[in-house]
Amino acid sequence: MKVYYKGTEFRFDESMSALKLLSKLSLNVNEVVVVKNGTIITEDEVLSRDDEVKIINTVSGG
Amino acid sequence: MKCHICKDKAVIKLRQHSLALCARHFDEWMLRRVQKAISDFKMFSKKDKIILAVSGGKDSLALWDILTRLGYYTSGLYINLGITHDGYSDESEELCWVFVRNRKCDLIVVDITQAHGMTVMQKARAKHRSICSACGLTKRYYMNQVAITKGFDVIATGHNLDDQAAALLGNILHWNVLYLANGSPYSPPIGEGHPAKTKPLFLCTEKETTTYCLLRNISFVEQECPYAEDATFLEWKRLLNRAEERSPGTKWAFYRGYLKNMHLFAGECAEKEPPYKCKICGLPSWHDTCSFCRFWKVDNTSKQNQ
Repeated sequence: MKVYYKGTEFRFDESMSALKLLSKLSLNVNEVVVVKNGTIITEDEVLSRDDEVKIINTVSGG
Repeated sequence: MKCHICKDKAVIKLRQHSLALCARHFDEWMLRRVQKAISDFKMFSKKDKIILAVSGGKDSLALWDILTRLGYYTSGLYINLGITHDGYSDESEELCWVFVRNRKCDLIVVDITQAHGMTVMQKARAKHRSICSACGLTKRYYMNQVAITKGFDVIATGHNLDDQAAALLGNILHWNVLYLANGSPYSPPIGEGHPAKTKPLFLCTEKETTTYCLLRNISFVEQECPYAEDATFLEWKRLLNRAEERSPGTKWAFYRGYLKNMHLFAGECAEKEPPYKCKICGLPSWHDTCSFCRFWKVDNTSKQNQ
């Protein structure tokens, strides 16, 4: 799957849950929103090899 | 994961509330959360003139959309600080205009470079002051100045629960008692003609405002302010989010505890009406010349490149 986060593209070959993906990227579930193929998903959802995933950072400087 | 209300597909798990919601029920939940914040603190009514400080970011645009949908007539104020890195200020302003285009609301823009002949960054360097401090001073001044001169009753800002909890943590770590006395999401007018100051998003997290904007197709600037990337404030947020991950509800419990106990910091530290009028701009001031005019208008000499 292709994963985009803060302007960087990552590639993963195996299926995994969104939560597992966040863990692999050392991201906190409270600090991001995960969008799979254009749709917002919850962290338990499984991502497959063909999916395009965008991770949106939610933390701002105030 | 299913929506706990209708069993449709959930778009967000609100772990601190043990609640999963679909797009429709999350939308309704957000409107109720903001209305609850406004009502609980008696922030304003539908008769009040509200000016909302907008940055082009998710929080202020989400709040603008929610206030409009709830029937509060709200004008936006965008302060263009002249941050040219990756076109940050201009892109942020453009996103505010995009927001306004399809809605019945007004946007007031203050362009700092046009008003003062240089950007906040150039001025901060010339005055040997930190950029974040100069930016904060400038934004606070224009929020007050526009509200007072144009007769707004209320200033609203898009500060959310993460902002409030992180500011609280920072203020406790440094025992900034003055700030601890004034950390409420509602500050009443400090005198005749002064606006009240409100933070109607204080019950909502950043994840919630981001999700709201995505579901409502509100375009917002995703890029962080280039000068805020290393801010200590972000570190307080990360600390709290790590605690939240282990123990959902920690942020709200922390801030709610403060709201219950903030009277302990009141007394001499409470916000009062400044005793003077600035001799340059005429706005209320703690000295004969206000800190904004001392920064921008006194010894306004050298320009430096950004």
